[in-house]
Amino acid sequence: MGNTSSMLTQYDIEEVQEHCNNTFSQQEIVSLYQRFCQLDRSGGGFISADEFLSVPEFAVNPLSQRLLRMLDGLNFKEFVAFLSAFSSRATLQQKIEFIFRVYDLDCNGKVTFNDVLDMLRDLTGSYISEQQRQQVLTHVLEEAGYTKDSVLVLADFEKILGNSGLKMEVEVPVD
Amino acid sequence: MSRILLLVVSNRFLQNLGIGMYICFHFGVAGWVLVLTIGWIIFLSAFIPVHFLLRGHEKWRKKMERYLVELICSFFVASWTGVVKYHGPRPSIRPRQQVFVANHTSMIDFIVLEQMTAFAVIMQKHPGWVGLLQSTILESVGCIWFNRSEAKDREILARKLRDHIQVPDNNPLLIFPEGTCVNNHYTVMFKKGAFELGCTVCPIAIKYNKIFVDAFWNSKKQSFTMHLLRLMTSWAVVCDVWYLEPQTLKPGETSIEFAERVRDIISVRAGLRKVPWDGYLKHSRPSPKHTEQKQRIFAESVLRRLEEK
Repeated sequence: MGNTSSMLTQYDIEEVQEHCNNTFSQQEIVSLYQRFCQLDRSGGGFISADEFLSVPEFAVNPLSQRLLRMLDGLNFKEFVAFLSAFSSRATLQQKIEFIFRVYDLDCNGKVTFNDVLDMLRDLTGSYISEQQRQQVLTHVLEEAGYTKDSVLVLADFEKILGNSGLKMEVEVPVD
Repeated sequence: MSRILLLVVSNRFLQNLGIGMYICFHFGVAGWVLVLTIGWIIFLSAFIPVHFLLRGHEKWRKKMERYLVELICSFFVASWTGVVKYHGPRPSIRPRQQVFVANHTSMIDFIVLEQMTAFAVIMQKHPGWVGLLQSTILESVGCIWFNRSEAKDREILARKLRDHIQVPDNNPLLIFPEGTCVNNHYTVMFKKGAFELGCTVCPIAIKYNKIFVDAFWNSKKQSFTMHLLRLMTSWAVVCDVWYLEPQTLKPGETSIEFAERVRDIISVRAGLRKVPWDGYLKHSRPSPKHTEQKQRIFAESVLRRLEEK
């Protein structure tokens, strides 16, 4: 009864730790596994999009549909790897890679003006006109030393976010 | 059982342990069956005559029925070896208009509270044997039922609540304003109905100790019968109940703020974390309104920056 965590042996945990570059402690992985099992209502060993949306905080996130494309059907190892960017032990590099993946919807390793515009559209919905959005984005790109036609790669993201004092840490509750 | 049998063959020490567990288990089962059976026999043999014979003496009948409902509830609590500690003054009938509100973990909250004081409670109408109890026995302590699915019920319910608290002789009213069972780690948003009645609100905080069994009733996974069975076969249900200081609406306070204040009081006392969610999200998705609000906040900050330029 609620003792599913005991199904993970220390060996299993080490394997998961290795998979996520040791960004989580063993205790944290046990906690995450309990959460994973709670979310996996169908008990199939993976979390479907529908099950992710049962987390209200996630469902109301303007980026939830975008994130679901990265999340749908993850098993536990992949789930932990996905979350590892939010660990305090993850390097800045890992965090920036994660952010880049959120922007790079088509996974071609390049982020164009339109990719960023899509992101901004998700974030602001109908509260900004399309014209204003483009205006904002042109401003931002120019400020960072790019133009409307620039194609950004991961290295550009690293340059821009590298010393921005990026904070992206979530604590895993451990009991 | 097969697991115990396996142990029996494998090891002599474990054999003794296995038999020990077997005996304990059977003793436990016999214990609660016995307690409940005796409870029901006593209760029914008293309740039925009281209910039908004392027709003319309403005051006496009410008093007896109230007492008997408290009695059967204590038998229920005893059947799952309830170790309940009550803190603070015991609620009672009093002429002042009042309503009691408590956090909600399982339907057993009601039984735990009922064994001390016969409350009239607001409940969702249940199917099956629980429904039968509702419409026969609990009706007599003045409990009020509603059907969540019927929108019209809302108005009728609000009127019934008002009528109930007007009569000083009625049993004190108990409301679980969360409107759904929560796992006893959090409190979800309170429905404001109880706080709009314009009477004193007496908070009750209930905290279960999960050392032997988790008292949370996950109605999606378990029927109430299975839930009760699980509690009965566990060693004990340990919980604390605090009757807290009565609160009244402060001048200038809205009923929503009042509800939040009372939720604060309960959460602090029971050591629960407050979350800003509507309990009904358990059954349905949050409305897109919430997402749009986030988008609006972000859009406003972007536009502000744009104007500064």
